[in-house]
Amino acid sequence: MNGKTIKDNLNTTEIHRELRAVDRLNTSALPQWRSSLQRLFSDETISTNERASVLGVPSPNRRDLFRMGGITVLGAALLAACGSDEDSRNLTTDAPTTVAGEPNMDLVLAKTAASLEKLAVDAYGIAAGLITTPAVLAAATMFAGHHQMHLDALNGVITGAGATAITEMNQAVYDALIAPALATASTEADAVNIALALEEAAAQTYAFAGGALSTPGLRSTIMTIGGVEARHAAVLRMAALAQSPLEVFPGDRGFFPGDNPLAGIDGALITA
Amino acid sequence: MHITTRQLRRLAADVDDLHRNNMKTFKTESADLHRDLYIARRSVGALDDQSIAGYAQSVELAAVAAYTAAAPLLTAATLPVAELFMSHHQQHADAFGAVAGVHAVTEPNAALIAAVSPALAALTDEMGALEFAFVLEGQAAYTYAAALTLLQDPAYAAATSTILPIEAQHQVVLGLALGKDVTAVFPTGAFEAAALGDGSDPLKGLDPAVFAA
Repeated sequence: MNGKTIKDNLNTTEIHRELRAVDRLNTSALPQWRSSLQRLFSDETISTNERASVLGVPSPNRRDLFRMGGITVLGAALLAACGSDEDSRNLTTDAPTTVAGEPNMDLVLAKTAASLEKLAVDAYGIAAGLITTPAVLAAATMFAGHHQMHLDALNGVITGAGATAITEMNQAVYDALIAPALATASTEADAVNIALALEEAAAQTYAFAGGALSTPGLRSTIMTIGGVEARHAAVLRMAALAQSPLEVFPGDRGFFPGDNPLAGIDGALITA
Repeated sequence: MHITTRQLRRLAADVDDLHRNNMKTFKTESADLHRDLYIARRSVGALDDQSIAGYAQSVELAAVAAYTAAAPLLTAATLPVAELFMSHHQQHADAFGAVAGVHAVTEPNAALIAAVSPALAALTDEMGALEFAFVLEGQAAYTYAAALTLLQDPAYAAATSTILPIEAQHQVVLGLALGKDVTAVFPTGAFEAAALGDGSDPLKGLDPAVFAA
């Protein structure tokens, strides 16, 4: 541009005015930006994924991180600097890790839990044929929906770790517990008792996993599911089997069993 | 109308000055932001496993106190269930207290008791008492789901994982006793909530920052 003029309808006063307006916008925006970031990173209920969404960057836990453009680098760097190491509230981002001395036990537990969820979905589908009470059928349908959501959530964890999603039910548990009961089931109560056994086994599996997984995030995630399985069991006892409230707690128990209910079933742990 | 190269350079210099001035503010703002975040993180980090256990113990003792206060409103049919739940909460308090170390407490959570006292005092019948307990049990379950996001020692997490399902089942029993439909005994749907609040939201746990033991 040396020695040349810009032939345009530019008025220097207007340009100065525009520049001052830009400066005012910039000056007013920065405190708001700071305030927004303060809220974004101080609020423990906001997940890393949600923070990523607000900042317009991919989640640092997702595999598309490397596809980010240059404009997103600042937000991503901020996430990396200010975000917690783990995000306990997002079901799809906690990648399973390895427990010392055991080959990726987190992944084994996540896969096993997913296979139990698939088994529950399938078992409710089979049991539905024996359920004649509309309210019980409605509850069974709702519970099957919960299990499908649990399966999807667990598969998010599994695929997030680079493993293949679980699409088949836990055959070993089906063979050991469900198939023999189904073979002789002929009434609605039989069907509900099968569902109850499955729900309590699932809840116990989660209570076990709540102390066996390697990170707080995974442990919390698994128990947000385990608590719901325990609720299912309580509803089945009271609403479907007409048991008393006291029977929801066998032996008046104040603690849910936390030992592994699958320990005696060969092949129940999904290690592949 | 036109501007010369000299005028453009001057305008560019003005822009540069504005930018530099804003960058000075930006640096200060960023430093403040990181300092504040550091302080916030430290305060969260101050909740070690023992202090979380002590807090949980104080909440469990508050639940015992609440059931005790509501018991006179309950019928003979309901009272044994409330007594069982009260005994569960005492067992939970004992379990947490045993591992809380110096953070173990002997009294119910004072802040929580103060917060629920007006509601407890306003109870006039069994249905009201059961509804009060229904909300409290749900909040206890969510508190433990949130606590699990912080507990570092797997042994603490394992113990908490055997207590959370019991609180959830308490809520189901109370909900069904109240005549609620099945959907209502899953207040947060297919997953327990792991968020914390100030006690006013029945779908959130009890924030230790609000109810400091």
